[in-house]
Amino acid sequence: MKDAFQRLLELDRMVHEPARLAILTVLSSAETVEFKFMERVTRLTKGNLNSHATKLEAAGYLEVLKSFRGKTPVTTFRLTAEGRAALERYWREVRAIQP
Amino acid sequence: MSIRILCRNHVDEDWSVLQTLRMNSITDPSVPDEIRSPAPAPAPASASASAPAPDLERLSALTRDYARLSHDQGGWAGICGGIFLLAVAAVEVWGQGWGLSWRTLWIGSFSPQPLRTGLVLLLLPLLWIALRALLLRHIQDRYGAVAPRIESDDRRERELRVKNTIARVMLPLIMLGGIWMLTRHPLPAPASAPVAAPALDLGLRIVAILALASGLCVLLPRWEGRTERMVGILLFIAPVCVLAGFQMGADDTMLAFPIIGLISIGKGVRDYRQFRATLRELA
Repeated sequence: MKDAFQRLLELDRMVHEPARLAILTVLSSAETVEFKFMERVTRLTKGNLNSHATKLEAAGYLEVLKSFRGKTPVTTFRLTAEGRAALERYWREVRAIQP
Repeated sequence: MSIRILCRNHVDEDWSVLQTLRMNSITDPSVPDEIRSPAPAPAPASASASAPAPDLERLSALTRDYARLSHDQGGWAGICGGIFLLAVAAVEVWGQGWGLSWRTLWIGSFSPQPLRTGLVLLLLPLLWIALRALLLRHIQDRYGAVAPRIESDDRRERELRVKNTIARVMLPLIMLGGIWMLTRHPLPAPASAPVAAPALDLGLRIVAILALASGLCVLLPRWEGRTERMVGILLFIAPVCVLAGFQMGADDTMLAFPIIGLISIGKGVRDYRQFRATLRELA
């Protein structure tokens, strides 16, 4: 049986990072979330949020949707099925490690 | 070390890599001086690094609350809808020349309303829909749009499907029934009414009813809340009844307007308070 530390090291780093974990948690509670709300609720800066969203998008965990509201460009995030599965797997693993 | 502490102390990977490189470089002469120099204290690179770790459960609850409440325009949809329903009741009574008495309330029924009352009543649901769209736009512009999560619970989905089917079958039946009644049964004699009977002829009335009922068919699935649906249906029914020349039964239909209106206002005020609390937490 693997020890707790070994299992800790094997956690999905893409999900484990706190800012990304917050993003995924927010997304898991809604169908789609606009950039403006995500920025406010996670208290991340625009650059930081953009950077983490890009990483999550590259991993296939979230989808970035670009649209317009009137003349204003709007960026919206959506959790993919893969992202939801990764988040659920992450919490399962974390719970398994905790004594 | 507990997982919780590790999660909260987790810093950006780039910073960790740089620190590791600096530690290794102390004994490595090939490493340039700027990297070998003592590392400065890690300044907070971002709000995420300096801010305390957010409570994930709270984040989740805030998102859910915001999604639900912003969808109802922060309670304003209920408040406005309730006020409009009270206005419908007032317009109906005004159409009777304020001649409402306990007798008419409990025994009699309202007589046909004039056309102007129908047109005033027709404005209310349209104004309600426009106001909701404006309020939603205002909230989304300011705080961002969040679509509520669609529950994948099979039972809930089944229930929704059954309700939608019933609504879609019932509405055309009501429409056809109304038209059948219009063509078969003559309207009450205008002389019995304290005000003039509707001036629209039968064909126009049928068109008006069809237009309103079709609009209701389209809009009904969009109204998700129970109170919201009830407010919308009542707001649409009032002008249909007046344009069709139906008598508004004071004992059943008419009382529904102020009662549902007050319930809607109460629910709206509760939602508004919750929404303000959610926004305060977000700020």
